[in-house]
Amino acid sequence: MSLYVASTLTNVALISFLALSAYLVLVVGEVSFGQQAFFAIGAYVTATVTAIFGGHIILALFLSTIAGGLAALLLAALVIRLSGLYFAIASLCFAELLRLTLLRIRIPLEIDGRSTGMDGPEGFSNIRWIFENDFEVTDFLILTVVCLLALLLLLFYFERTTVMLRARLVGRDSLLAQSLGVRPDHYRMAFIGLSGMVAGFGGALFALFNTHIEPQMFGVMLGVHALAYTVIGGLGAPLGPLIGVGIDIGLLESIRALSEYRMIAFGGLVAVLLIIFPQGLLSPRAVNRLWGRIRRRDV
Amino acid sequence: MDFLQTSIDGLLFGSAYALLALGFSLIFGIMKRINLAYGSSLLFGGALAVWLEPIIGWGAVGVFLVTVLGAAFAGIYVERLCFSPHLGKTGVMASMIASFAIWMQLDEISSQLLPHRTHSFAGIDIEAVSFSGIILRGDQILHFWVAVVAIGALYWTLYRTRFGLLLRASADDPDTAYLLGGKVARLGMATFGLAGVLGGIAAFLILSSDGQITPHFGLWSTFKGLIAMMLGGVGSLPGAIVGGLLLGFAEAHVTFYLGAEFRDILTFGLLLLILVLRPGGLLGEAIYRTGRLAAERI
Amino acid sequence: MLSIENLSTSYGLIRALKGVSLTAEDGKVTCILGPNGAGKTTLLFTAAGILKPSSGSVKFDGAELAGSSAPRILQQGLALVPENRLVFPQMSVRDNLLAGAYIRHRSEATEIAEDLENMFDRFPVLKEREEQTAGTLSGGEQQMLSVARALMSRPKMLLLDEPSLGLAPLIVDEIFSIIRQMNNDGISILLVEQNAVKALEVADHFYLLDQGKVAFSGTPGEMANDDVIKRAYLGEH
Repeated sequence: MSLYVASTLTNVALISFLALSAYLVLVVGEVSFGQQAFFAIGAYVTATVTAIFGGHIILALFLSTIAGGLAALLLAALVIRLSGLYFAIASLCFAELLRLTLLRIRIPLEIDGRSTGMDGPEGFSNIRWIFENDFEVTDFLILTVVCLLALLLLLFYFERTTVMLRARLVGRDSLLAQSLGVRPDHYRMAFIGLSGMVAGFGGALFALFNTHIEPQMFGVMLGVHALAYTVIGGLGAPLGPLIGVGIDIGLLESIRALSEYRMIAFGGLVAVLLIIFPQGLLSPRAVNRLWGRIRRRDV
Repeated sequence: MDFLQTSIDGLLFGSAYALLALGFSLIFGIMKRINLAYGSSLLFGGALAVWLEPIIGWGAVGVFLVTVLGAAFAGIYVERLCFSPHLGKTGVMASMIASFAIWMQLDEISSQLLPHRTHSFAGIDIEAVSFSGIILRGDQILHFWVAVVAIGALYWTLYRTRFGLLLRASADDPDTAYLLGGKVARLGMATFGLAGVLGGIAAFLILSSDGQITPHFGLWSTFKGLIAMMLGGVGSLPGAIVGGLLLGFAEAHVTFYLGAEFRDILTFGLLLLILVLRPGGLLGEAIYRTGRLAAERI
Repeated sequence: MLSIENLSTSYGLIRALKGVSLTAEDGKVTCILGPNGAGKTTLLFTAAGILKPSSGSVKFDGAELAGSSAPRILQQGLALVPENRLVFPQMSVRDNLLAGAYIRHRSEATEIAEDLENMFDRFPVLKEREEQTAGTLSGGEQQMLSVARALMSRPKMLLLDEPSLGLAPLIVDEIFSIIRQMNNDGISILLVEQNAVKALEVADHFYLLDQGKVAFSGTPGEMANDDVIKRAYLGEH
């Protein structure tokens, strides 16, 4: 596998974490423009743990996940009364505030003669964990894909539980859910928190893979892209977001011949795709029909 | 004295923000959707104007006309491709993501029209006015008056014409408006066109004041318009005006007292604070009470 | 005269109307009774052009309206007052009424202004609330506004969908006296009601709709003597 292919695939897998985190928020009926914030938090925590304190990767991943989840809970607690457009813009504000704050924090350090630590717009350089542990690009790809598959299996299992059913009910009709005894705010808090954990974990891997991170990487474009992948892919199953990522990055690569005109073609293509499949490719209805067909065959 | 000068500068600049916010509010009022491609359609108008300037001539007047018409045309294009196919209740998400995709597309087209990173944009030279120590920049006075005229024209259209009546009726209840014989189907196009004209005017004012145009203008104006609208109150026209002026005022003071790097932090912080404390915006309805929140899910 | 022939309308696979035929005479009040889900609202919506029929015809003064758009049907003089009092809550009472005249031509501006004054004469409570937003009106006032708004298009026939729904008895009496008054002024009315007792006071002819079909047709006298209807709609045993 060429280096180029391997690193492209790794990027696909890393962005998939972010798309899955946007998916979890969408399940409870909210739109977040701010998932990149938790991704960034995961990345900066892992960078700090590994590059400054020389911590173990397991510890770094663990702390990043927790930090992402806590940040998401903080946001959720602030804006739990909001929904719809208001929630979306509040999450955008939160993420932009974080990014602008990261731009201001300058604590440059020198470790083993290399500059590292948070340095405002210059970012956080020399996150050397993959070099120190002799990770090739393909090794890291395997690590990322294994983590992603584990997460997917977890979500697939989760999908058949009553918790997920209730969460979807909250997402579809919060009033109806309330009348059935489900507490929408609890589910929304929990799922936003979970989404922060998933994003934080993905951000941690992102920092390790890139070895250099800077605030500008975590702009609103990243978050809206993740959201777009989820919507194109469909909300029916956790595979939806992955399909979205595949279509975008896959298509981007395949029509690279168009080079500069790429976004012109791609933007139009997405709009047309959404006219044909307004619910995304794997819409809840399509998934239900598919399940029905599979089950009938079993009988 | 500094305080007064800064306040006036901020409010004059804020009049352009108010126009941006009005465009957003108009679209939200009629469609109950947000148009992420709004800023990009304005950028497209500006880029087209710069591109066509040597062909058309006419100096600043030509640039103004092309900017406004280009923005309105791009707005209608966005409506056709992203909003009119997704009118149902389930289409909210799809229309937003489609408008994001077209945002990318229009940004790219504009970048193609502007091969260098920055291009000069036709400015208007008006002499500054000063009295008792306060200096008013000529272009800012122009900003203000153009915004006043544009807002006046908008109010006249909305409250004094048949089209305005239909527009307001449709914002309240599109099904009933159709029942009364309104041609509701074409209303979306008209709204996007109108929002494009307002935004195009704002874009021309801002770009000519800066004397340059960069591809960042799309994202920038989407943010400013959205923030100003949400500060004042979603879907409320007076709210959009107040929100725009307030944003200009606050930005000018933060830039003056704390430095430009704190400007955006303040903007987003202020908006988050208002969303947490009074989510309907300053002049918006108290959204919890009316229960409209549920209806306005995006 | 509105004459509906063999009209069928479906929502997807569900056939809500299965060949309904009825006529509403000029200058009369025709009332359609029926349980929930009988297809009453579907019938009015189809006649008003909001729903498209799958077959059958809707003739109004000889012109075929089936399949026409709502604005065109309104232009022919057939105005619908939907149930649940759909006013424009954010607009003033006056603007609501003007919106009702949207269909009329620009050149009628003076007539429209006259009609506005007529509406205020007929509904004095609306005059009091002229500049208030419609959302602040009480249920009965909103129903009057909704009727007045429909009248602003100068219809020949009004299609009224359950005007008494959810209103207090005194207000219901007022609404029915308005219906009679409008009828005396020469406007034909096709009324959908659940309140059969009140409907008996105003209607000249009755139809009973059940499961998408006309189950009964007769004068008020015939209806009052029908045992089934008596039991189901008039509360007599």
